[in-house]
Amino acid sequence: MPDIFIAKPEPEKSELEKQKESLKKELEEILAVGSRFFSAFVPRPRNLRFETQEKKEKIVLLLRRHPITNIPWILLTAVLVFTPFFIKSFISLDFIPGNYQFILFLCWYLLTFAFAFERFLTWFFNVNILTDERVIDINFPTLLYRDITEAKIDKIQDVNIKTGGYIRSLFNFGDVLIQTAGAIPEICFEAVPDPQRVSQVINQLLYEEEQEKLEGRVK
Amino acid sequence: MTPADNFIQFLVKAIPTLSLWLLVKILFIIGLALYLAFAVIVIRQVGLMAKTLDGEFNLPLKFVAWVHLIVSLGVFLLAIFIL
Repeated sequence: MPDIFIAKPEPEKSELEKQKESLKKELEEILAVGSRFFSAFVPRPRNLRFETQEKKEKIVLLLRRHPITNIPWILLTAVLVFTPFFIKSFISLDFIPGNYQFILFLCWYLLTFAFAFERFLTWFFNVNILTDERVIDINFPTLLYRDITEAKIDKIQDVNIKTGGYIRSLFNFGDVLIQTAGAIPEICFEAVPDPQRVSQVINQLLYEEEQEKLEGRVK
Repeated sequence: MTPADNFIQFLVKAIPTLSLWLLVKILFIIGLALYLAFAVIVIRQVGLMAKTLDGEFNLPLKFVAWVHLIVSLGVFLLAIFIL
């Protein structure tokens, strides 16, 4: 019996496409374990943009310092909160009039709050961003001063990981040093969680960029 | 006598009449005025940070910075009135 319809055999995927798919799959696997925006390792953050982001540029990974690095200032804040009570229980402050004591008390807590808030802001906004096109390091070293360092993915030459020490090994965080061929020779992601995984993501992005170069689609 | 000498003479005469707590009050008010300026700078800083990294947590942070400024202003006024 003659065939009425013969389906065309699906064209075999080119080697390049297969590689690209496997790269994407690997990247998805690396980024699979994610966390919320209010965290130190945020794969593909939602509702987040940075100032110099281009329209088609996508954020792959947002990094902050590991939350454990906040412990010293949190402890110091706790000490500052309880200090007036300690002082009052050990030293008699009767020589200071009540209204002055009250204002002094309020001033102390204003300063304590300012200290804690500043430290939180520094932690929250000093971020490292990996996009599908660039590596960006945003720093706010002092009040009203910012320092943004960036390099194109295809300018990355080498990625080094620095971990060591008891705390860093225990909580799995460390520095990721990215050497570039651009104007800024090195970008450092300080004390980021899971540096091994960050390095893997950078390498995957680098391979993807190389693939795009081969296809002639690079920006 | 130079103006500087006049000023020193004025201070020498005036200091014994000033009470210690009045001096402390003036110091408190100067300190709180400086703190008020700092609270304004914090608002500017949060604005700059939020502009650089625009996320969903920026609004609560801006709110906290404004509350901080209002509380600072409140303490400054309170110091003027109750000290």
